[in-house]
Amino acid sequence: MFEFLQYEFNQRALLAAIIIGCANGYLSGYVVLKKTALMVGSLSHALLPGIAVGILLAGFTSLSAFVGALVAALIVGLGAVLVSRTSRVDGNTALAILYTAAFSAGVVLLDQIPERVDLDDWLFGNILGLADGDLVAAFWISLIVLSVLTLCQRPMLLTIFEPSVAASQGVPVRTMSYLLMGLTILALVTSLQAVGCILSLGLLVAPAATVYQFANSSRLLMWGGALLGAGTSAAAVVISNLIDVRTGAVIVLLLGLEFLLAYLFSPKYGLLARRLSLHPNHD
Amino acid sequence: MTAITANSGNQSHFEKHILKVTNLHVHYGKVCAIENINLTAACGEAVAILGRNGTGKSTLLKAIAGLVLPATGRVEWCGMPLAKIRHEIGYLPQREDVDWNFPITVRGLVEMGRYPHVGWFGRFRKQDTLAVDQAIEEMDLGPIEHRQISELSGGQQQRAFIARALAQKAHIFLLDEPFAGLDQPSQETLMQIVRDLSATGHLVLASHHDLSNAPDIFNRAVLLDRRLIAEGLVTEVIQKMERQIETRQEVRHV
Repeated sequence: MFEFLQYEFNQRALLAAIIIGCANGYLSGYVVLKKTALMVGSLSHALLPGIAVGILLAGFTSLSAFVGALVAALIVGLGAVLVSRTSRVDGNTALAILYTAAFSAGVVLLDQIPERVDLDDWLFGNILGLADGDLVAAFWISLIVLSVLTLCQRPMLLTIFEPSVAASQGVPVRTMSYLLMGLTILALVTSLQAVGCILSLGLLVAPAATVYQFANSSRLLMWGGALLGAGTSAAAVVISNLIDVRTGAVIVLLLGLEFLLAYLFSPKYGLLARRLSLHPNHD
Repeated sequence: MTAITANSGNQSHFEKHILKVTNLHVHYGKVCAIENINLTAACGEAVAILGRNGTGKSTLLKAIAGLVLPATGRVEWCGMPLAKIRHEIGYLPQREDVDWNFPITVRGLVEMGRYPHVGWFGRFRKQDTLAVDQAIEEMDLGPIEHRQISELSGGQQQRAFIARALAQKAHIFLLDEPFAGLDQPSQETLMQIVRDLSATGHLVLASHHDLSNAPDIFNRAVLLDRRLIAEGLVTEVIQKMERQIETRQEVRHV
């Protein structure tokens, strides 16, 4: 079962899956609490034109793709805020227009790049294609995301739970929101090569959403999400190797399955438990 | 329920601590929520803020708590501006303003009260844990301290937020419709808590809508209709309120 690990690219893939799954899983706790899943989904789509422009301008390297993706996400995210503040349309509407337009631009642009770029890899990920440098970058970015989030846990959580109280106690609420958005974009960019820009949303939402069916403390939600994200991603690398399918899709599929099980069978908040407690047996 | 610990508690204490609201105006966009509010209250008092819906009761509490920024005016405590005395203020939000599904336990909520003391990054010390234990015990939440906040009854939820303010060692308790939606036994428990709070040298300001029990809970009242239209003993203010309603009805009949 584990013979495939004698190949270096498989070892890299497994390690990357664990690192990326851990950071994204931890962050998913915040995405679930802040209820910003769809906003994050929009941003993940917005990465695509950035990748294309990055490659067109600076050649095909991971760095140019990363920087491009980062810039694109920032432009679309901040652009939506700007449009909503200076027009009649609200933030969600503006974001929807901007990200679909950006995504389309990305599809068109990436098709123009002749060799070596496979659109599918950017859309759905190709974790086996990782280079050593990618792994190191993923490691450092994940470390930054985790350290900042654990350090800022109290003000960040209070900002989400009671924004006005947080503000009155001197928490820079707006800065906290932007910081979280920035870290989310960083995490998205690292997960690009593993799961691709369409599926990355799954990794940034599903782990904590599953743990949410059990957990009653935020700390458990974050670290449980990290553990589940890392474990599931690692398992997906093994499974996808056995049955030869795309790893990114297996990661997100497994996460979806886990959520379904938790949603149905969680002893406290699961559908079954709720049904049973709503209709108690009167015999 | 154990007795609430006094904040300090000798007579001079009652003379020193005064909340002073001067010329307070709050606007939401172009809408004026409250205007020209002047109010003085001292610790040891329990003040009811009366008035119909939409007359600015919540806004007044939020402005005193520093949750909304006033257009003009000042809030001072012992002569110090609001910004310097945040830790002195405990705030109980209206029930529909709380995300009850947030993954936090009763104990976790009460621990939040220590944040102003330990800072955003500091570790909990012995005295912090002690303050949390004490607040939980005083509000009789010990057996349910590990429950998630949505699994509590209405009365327990209110007590959990009050315990947070107690752990914070807050001096001023701002309660937004604390009795709304509570059953009779929970109402009575909370009435006793409010009386205990003021008796132990805290200042309680609460928006309130039930005129029948107000005199039993509070020793002063203010009547709000965007402006402050009456102020005094609870019974006096209620009488004035009822006279107003009668006059309004008479006008309608004529």
